[in-house]
Amino acid sequence: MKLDEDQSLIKDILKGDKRSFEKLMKKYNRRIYNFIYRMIRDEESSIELSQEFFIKIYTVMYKYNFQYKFSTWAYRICYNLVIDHIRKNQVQIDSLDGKDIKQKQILDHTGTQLKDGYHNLEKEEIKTIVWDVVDTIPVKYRELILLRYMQGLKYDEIAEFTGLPVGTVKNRIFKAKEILKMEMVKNEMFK
Amino acid sequence: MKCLNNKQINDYMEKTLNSMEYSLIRDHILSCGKCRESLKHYELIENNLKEPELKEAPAAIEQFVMRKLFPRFSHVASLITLIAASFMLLIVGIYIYFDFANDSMIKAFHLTKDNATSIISSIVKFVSVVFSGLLAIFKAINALLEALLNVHIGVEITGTFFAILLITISYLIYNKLFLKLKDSRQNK
Repeated sequence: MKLDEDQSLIKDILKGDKRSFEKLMKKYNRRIYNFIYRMIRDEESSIELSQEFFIKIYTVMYKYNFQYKFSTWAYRICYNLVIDHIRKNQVQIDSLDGKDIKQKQILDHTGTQLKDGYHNLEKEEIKTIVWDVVDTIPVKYRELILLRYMQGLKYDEIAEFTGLPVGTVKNRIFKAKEILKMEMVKNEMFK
Repeated sequence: MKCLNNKQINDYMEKTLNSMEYSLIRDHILSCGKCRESLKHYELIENNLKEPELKEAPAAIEQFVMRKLFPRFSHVASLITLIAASFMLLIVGIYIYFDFANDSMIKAFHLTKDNATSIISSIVKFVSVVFSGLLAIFKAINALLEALLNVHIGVEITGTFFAILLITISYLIYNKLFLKLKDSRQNK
């Protein structure tokens, strides 16, 4: 069986090579931290959860099945950790999904938007605005957007992760994009 | 053909339609400015979502994980080293104490009368007093153990035991408190 880059690292880690684990962590650190941060939007907890994730990955690495992609396996562990955290802190997370934050974050950009319209905005600025809106949509949509676009998972993989039917996953992601479009229209970004 | 709904536009963009539906929608988009504009909006969102904005992960994550999983010394090794070091310290201490008790070093210092040797002599005397105090405490503990439990351990063993105990407690406190504080500072 031909091993990919991650799997070769895992083989070395299982033999006790700590440098390989460091390499693997460096590769996934940024994506994992950003996924967690965008899910829970609390920097301190995101750092703690990222640390917990990597420690967990190391301690359960012997269970990894080389037939599957490491990233999918790791993202599933990460997703479960975050969902557990959200369940434990339901009140705080939900309270952040209110309209106040949504409007506030959009307003942070409207000065530029109203003046120029998106055609004149820098590419990076548009990306920031789009992702700022993602931060404000309810968790049930946001988690799917993050799994799809930040973790690069397919619809059926997301369905497996979340336990939702594929149709529901597709509909929610579409709904999330509709929310994004509505917000951008509302703020005259498409002028 | 009437204007497309958002779902049809999204499906066209994601290429999840069958070939028949795909060509029908493509033909409509080519001829309808409103639907073309709507497609552009979805494409803009899609392209920006596909390139997520990733901020740099704090260095504290890697540092903490590596230290936790691969400590420079294992807890057991550190403890054994500390116990060995404390034992050595005690042996050296006892040797120095008995040397002080004979006053041989102090007498040697008094042979010369310049300031430097008198300062050293004072330090040596101070250390000697500390050791005498410690020895008195160990003797008292030893006497107490003998009176309560009727066991005679000996001052040296009692002293060694207390030195090890003290260093172990210090080590545990260091591990629990200091490292926790360091981690919380790094996380901030």
